Amino acid sequence: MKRNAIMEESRKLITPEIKQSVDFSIDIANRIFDILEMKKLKQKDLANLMGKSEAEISKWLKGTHNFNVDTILKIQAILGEDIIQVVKTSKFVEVINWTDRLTIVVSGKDTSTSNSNNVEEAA
Amino acid sequence: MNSEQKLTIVLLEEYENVNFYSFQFEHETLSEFEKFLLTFRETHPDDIGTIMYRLERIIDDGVFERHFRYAGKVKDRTAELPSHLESTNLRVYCICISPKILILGNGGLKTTRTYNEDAYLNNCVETLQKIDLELKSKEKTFKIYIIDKNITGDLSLSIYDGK
Repeated sequence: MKRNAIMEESRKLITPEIKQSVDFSIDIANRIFDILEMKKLKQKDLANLMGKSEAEISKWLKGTHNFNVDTILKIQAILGEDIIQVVKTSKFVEVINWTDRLTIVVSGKDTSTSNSNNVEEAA
Repeated sequence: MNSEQKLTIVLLEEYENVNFYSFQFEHETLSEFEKFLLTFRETHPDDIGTIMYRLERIIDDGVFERHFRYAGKVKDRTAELPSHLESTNLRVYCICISPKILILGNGGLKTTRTYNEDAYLNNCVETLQKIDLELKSKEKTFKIYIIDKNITGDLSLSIYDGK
């Protein structure tokens, strides 16, 4: 398989932060496309549901629109599916033991979606 | 008088499902995408890193519209990278031939609201639009063949200023 030396050299500029940012962007777009597909909806349907023109929705999904939180929340509400989930942190997290593995005692209700075995709720 | 520019479509990289092409003007030693990378690699490393990582994802996913901003006109296949979700002003223009073929061109820093307002960027897009038209015409007349992830046949093209 052919490779290009200048492109290979330029790939060295990809940092973990860049990967995280691009992956996140792609995940948002993919998620919207997946929901539409799952609900057997077309861009036209989403446009009708949102009271927008098809051209505007097409812009959103083809990448000429700059998504902001409001837009994402609006799409989320219309489609009835989460596009982004925010992990909520608890009020107090106290590290009480740092021996062979980290043990965390959470004071208050853990509202995160994490299922970590290392988190124990305080009585 | 319209001046003629001769160029050749060149294969840059090939992968299992996607091939990246660029184009090289007559008497030049590098393709336009290579020139773009060399021009901005030192001054805009994060932006080049972002574009290169987008290409990595395209290698995995395919040349799908969700990866691009659309440039040019509805009738052509020109597009720009990176997508709208990455906040950089550096743009590179390309032609999405098929889900398996991407032709990468040149680009630059976008300092105006639209690329049309910048003579250099506008020229980058117009060059790709002309190449796209030429490719379509050559495909129609069986001078080139687009099969799977390959463009084969006579890959030499001529484009004209003002055409």
